[in-house]
Amino acid sequence: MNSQFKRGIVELCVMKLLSARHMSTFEVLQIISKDLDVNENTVYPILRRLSNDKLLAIEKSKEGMGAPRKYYYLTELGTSKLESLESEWNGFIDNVSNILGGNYE
Amino acid sequence: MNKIKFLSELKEELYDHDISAKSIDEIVEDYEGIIDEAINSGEVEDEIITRLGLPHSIAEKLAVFEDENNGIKGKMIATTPFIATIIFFILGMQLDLWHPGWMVFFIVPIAGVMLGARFNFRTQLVALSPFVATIFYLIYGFNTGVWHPTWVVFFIIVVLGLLFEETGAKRIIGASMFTIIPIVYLWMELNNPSIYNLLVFIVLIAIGLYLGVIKLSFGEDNIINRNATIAFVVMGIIYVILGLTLNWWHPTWLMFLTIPMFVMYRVEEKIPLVAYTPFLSVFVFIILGELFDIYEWAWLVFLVIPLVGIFTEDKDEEDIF
Repeated sequence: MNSQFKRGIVELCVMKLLSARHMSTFEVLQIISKDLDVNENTVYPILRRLSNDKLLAIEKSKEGMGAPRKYYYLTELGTSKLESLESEWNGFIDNVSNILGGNYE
Repeated sequence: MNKIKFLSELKEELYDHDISAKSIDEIVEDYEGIIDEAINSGEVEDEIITRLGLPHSIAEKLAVFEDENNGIKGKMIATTPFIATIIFFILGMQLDLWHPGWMVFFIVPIAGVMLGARFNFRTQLVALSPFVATIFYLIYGFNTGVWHPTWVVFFIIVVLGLLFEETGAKRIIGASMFTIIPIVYLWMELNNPSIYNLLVFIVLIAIGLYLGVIKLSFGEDNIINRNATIAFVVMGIIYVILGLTLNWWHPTWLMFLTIPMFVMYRVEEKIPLVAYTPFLSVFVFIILGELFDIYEWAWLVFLVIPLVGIFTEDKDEEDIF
């Protein structure tokens, strides 16, 4: 699958996940990498990018010894961007389904 | 590989891939958090680290994404060869200053240091010092024909290195001695020139050896480094003797370009070929200019730098996915 396309899908899925609740870096990487079959190291830079673009925000929580745990959540800008991406995706899927299901003989 | 070793290697790889110090700290902290959470959820440390992959691959992927965040600075660095070339041509065609107008090409590495993400203020000063010293030495030499004893300006490289990269006695005593003794030598040469004034540097060598600033290691692992250190010291002595006796200060200074190339080769692993090309280009450019007086054509050799960069370029985002 085209890399730009795949990256777009991963971004959409990350944002959708985080629209449900706050999640730690590990949780996001685990769910996305398992369900989409992409490496954790592919998902992590996307988290950084979305956070740099202010689509995600970070909450830190000190839990026990070791580094504070980071929890990502969607910002207002991120929510609005997610709605737009979901609408584009659903429209795209409908069009692809029409073509795949259609008879063009 | 355990967590500490993994994070340490990751930090080094991120530094080698020109990622900013702030980003490196964030990324290493994040990966530490990922490993800790994986272990807390029942995974074995070795398994999570193996699944995360090699620090080199992680850094490569992150470098592609971080590049987009350093956009403006990266673009500015990339344009400096073209800006330098334009200025060089204006100086040459309008003022017939092909030489020493070629010195505008120094803005290329200087911009790389000043705008590069991996440099903070201290490392910038240390990294800039060889260029500043060289520019001063060459401009003064070309303008006045005086190459001696101005070569003492190169001691500023050692002084800044000691001030910003060492601690304790080595830092204070070393920086002081490497400042005072060259100034003393300069004063002696200006007032009473004599080849015997060079003997004052024996004091500097003794202090350098005592503090460990000058090292001669005799272990088997460091035979190459030892031989290279000796070679560079001998090179320096030969340069000063050739200058004092035959006035061969320029372009014999070119031999010192072997020092940064050797240091890169020995100190940094996986140094790309393109990193050597600026030094090799300067060497060929000066030789062509001095021997054949073709500075106005010799600049073409600098095109080797971007060409080598293009042909040896690493992965782009396509390959990351």
